[in-house]
Amino acid sequence: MKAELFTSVVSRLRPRLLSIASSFDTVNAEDAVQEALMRLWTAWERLPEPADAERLAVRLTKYACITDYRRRQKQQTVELKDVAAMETTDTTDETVIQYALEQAVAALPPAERRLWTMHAEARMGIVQIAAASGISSRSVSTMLSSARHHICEILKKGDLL
Amino acid sequence: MKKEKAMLIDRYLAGEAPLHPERLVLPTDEELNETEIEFDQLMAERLQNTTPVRNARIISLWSWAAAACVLIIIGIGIILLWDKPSQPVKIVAKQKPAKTIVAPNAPSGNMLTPIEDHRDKPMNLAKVKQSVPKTPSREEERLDIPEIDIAAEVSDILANIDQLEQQIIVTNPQNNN
Repeated sequence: MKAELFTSVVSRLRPRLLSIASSFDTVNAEDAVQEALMRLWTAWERLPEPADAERLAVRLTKYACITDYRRRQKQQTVELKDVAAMETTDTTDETVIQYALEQAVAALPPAERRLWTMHAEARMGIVQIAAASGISSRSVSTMLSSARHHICEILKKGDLL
Repeated sequence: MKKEKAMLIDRYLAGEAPLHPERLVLPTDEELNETEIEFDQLMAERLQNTTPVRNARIISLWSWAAAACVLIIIGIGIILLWDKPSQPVKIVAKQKPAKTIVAPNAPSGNMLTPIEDHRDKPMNLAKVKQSVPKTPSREEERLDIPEIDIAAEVSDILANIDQLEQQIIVTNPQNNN
């Protein structure tokens, strides 16, 4: 399907996905929908019909809810990996930068983090992000530049930039 | 070294090098089916667990409502009883019984002068109105005023008058003639 169709289909579909995710977990519903729409975007060109996209989006939302639920269950039993230990065992530049970037993204405000993830991870354009998040394109570009600014500041503080 | 780091960061900031490319990989149909079943099961379990809680909440709300109604009814009852006007009290001015007057020129101290009988005379309405007690005020009503039996009082007075008349007749038989 064409990329232009993504915005119209997703704009229509988003409230339904959000309600499914909210019924499972109100707090993390937005994150689950974002995850599902990112995956939907990557598979978009291969989908033949909008109906298939809708079906897949619902299933992907449920998948995102369950994987997040499982991750949280795991976190309760297993201790998180110690940062110091990670740095001593694997100190390549790439992993250090990756870790620093992860920390910087995690420090962003939730709304900014969601938009940034769609941009940086799924390579979604401003229009697609706007449709997937329910925010206007202008606000999306403003929030993305703000997120970029925050990340750069955090990296500068960590002497990585 | 620094240049390499900067390049990596720039690529990431431009959205060209995702940190977690595995997040974009589409799950297989089996994985999707499995998670869908788990999702539905968890939702059903949650619904089952939440239903009794909801009922309990409704019951507690009903009990609160009932308690509130009882309190309101009791309150209204108390107010109505408190403000209920007491039944009008019949207040009649006590009439002093007719005094026996000893005539100063009587041959003996026991001699009594006749008393005028006013019962046949026309009534002075102005005087009667003055003698009629005013309607009691709210505060007066609340005072504990004993009821007076007017009929008994009047009959007593009349009996006294009759007695006096008889005494007069007995003492001064010449007047009768």
